[in-house]
Amino acid sequence: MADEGRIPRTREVIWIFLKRDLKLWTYFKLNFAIELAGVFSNLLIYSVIASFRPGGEFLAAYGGDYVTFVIVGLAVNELLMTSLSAPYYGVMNSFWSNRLELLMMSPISLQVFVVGTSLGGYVRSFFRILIYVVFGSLMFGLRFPAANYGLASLFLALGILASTGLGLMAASMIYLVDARGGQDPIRWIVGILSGLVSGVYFPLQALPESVRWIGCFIPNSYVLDGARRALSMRTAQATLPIQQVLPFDPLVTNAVLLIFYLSSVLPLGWYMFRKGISEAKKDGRLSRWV
Amino acid sequence: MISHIIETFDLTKRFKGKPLEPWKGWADQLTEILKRRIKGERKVTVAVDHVILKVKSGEFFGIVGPNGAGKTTLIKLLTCLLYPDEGTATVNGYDIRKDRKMVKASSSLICGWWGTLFNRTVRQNLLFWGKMFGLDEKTANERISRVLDVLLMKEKADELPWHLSSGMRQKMALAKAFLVRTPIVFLDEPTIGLDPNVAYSIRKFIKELNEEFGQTIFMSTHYMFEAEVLCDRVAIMNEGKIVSVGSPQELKNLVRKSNILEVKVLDYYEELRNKLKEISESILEVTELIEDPVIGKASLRIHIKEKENVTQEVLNFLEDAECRVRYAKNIGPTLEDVFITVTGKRLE
Repeated sequence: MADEGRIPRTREVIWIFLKRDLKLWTYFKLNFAIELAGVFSNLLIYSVIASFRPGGEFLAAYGGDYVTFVIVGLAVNELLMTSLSAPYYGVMNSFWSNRLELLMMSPISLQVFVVGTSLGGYVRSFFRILIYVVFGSLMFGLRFPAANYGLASLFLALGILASTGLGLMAASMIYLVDARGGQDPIRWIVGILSGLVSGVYFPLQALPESVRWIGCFIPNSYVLDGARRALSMRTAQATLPIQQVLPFDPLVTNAVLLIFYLSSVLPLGWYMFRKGISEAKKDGRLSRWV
Repeated sequence: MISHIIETFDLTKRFKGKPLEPWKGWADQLTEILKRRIKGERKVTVAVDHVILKVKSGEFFGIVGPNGAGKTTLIKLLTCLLYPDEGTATVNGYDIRKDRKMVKASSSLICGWWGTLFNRTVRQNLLFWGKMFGLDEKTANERISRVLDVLLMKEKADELPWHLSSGMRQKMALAKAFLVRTPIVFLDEPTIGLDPNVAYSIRKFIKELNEEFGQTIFMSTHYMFEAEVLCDRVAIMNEGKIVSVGSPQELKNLVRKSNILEVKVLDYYEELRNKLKEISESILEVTELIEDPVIGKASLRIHIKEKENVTQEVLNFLEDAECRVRYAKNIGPTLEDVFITVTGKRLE
């Protein structure tokens, strides 16, 4: 006999999505090995750069050590970029594997679909971060003697939520502006800005002030600055131009602006994402290639 | 108790926009887009046109029609993959506009074996989809064994789908629908692209699974004989409209009034079809199946007006055209003949 309609349990569905993505990640052994080698080569490149003692007095706000500066930068950037890309790749991977319609007609909700298809990316990111931290400590003496890990985690959580909002906007572009070719305007702009003006690889004070203002438009700058300050000796020295304008401690400024950012970007991103899927279901482009 | 498990009320779907011509270069493409914008050209295709249908619980219901008739669009509307422009439908008692989550929980869709996880075994693939539809691991595993047993695929349970033939993969996709045992299973062209032997075995299994698990099956196909063999009732769809509904026998009774002359010939060539139509006003339509183009072996079905006989005229014509006639006889109609009668068109 036929069953009546069943609604799957959210936790179980998310777990099977995660298991599927992890199996896929480790299935092609050579790709997995190359990915690991990439993390080590990054560490090596920045350790060589560190030997030239770059940053100088600009690093004072973060404790003065370039290796620590750049490893924190790479690790935080890794998480933020995952949040930015996960919803886009969640939809596109399902689209190209002809699985999107099947998933969209199963009784899982859109939220569960987004979380389920994103989690695998976070596990990969945490794995790479672990390598950065472990080998950074063993080989390059990465230390955080005065770290406030709780505060650093808070900044990471705020950053992940804000970037997820941008990521949902990026995923909405798949159907709103037909960005199905692997790139979309949101990830493209945020990707460029994060590399140039958010302070992943070098202290922002190295840039002219007018350029530093551009960095204030993306959450990455506040998360990177906040996490670094929380992990090192706290100083009140302003690094972002907006910190000089607002009358608060830089850490408070970062937190307030991040909360403001995520509370506007996350609901907007969710609205746009739902709108994109809904438009695709109206005009029949959900799984159509052209 | 719901009297009709699927019921549509003037269900309508329109698609806007005419596809662009094949790529002729940037300049032409941009000119075309601009021209359309300026003129405001927005061609509308009515894919599903005010469809009214009722499907009973446990029924094997077929929807037949040529490519582009709107069959897949209708299935996508009923599975909430598309939103309707007008009208609505209920699936298992739930409205497709209001209770989408319950509509989705009540139905499964098989549209080929695409979407398979290629790095997981057949069993793991089925387990993945079972859990997506809320089955616990124990129940899912029991059902997987049972369904694979019915599908004669038990020994393939631990193989990767890469290593299976396309027919086997199609069976695996079918297993998914009968594993979760939703009240309704939508099958979109389940045998398309398969060789005749595999298609035959798939049809056999669909029927067996329907009888075994008692689910309502809503199947689209453009193979008329497939619908005739499998379905309790059939709807004929053409250009978005349902033109006729009934059991295969009821539909065939619609064309009982006309005669069909089947002729098997050698040395036949396509150009003869139009000339054959012109030899008498009593001939309504001629359909042909060319079995061997090298020797011109073909099977012709000539639809003739009721109570009229043109057999001799046809045979004379074929003789003049130097075709060798193997046999000619008056036969009963098929669903394809019904389609020709109710739409006035040949099924391409």
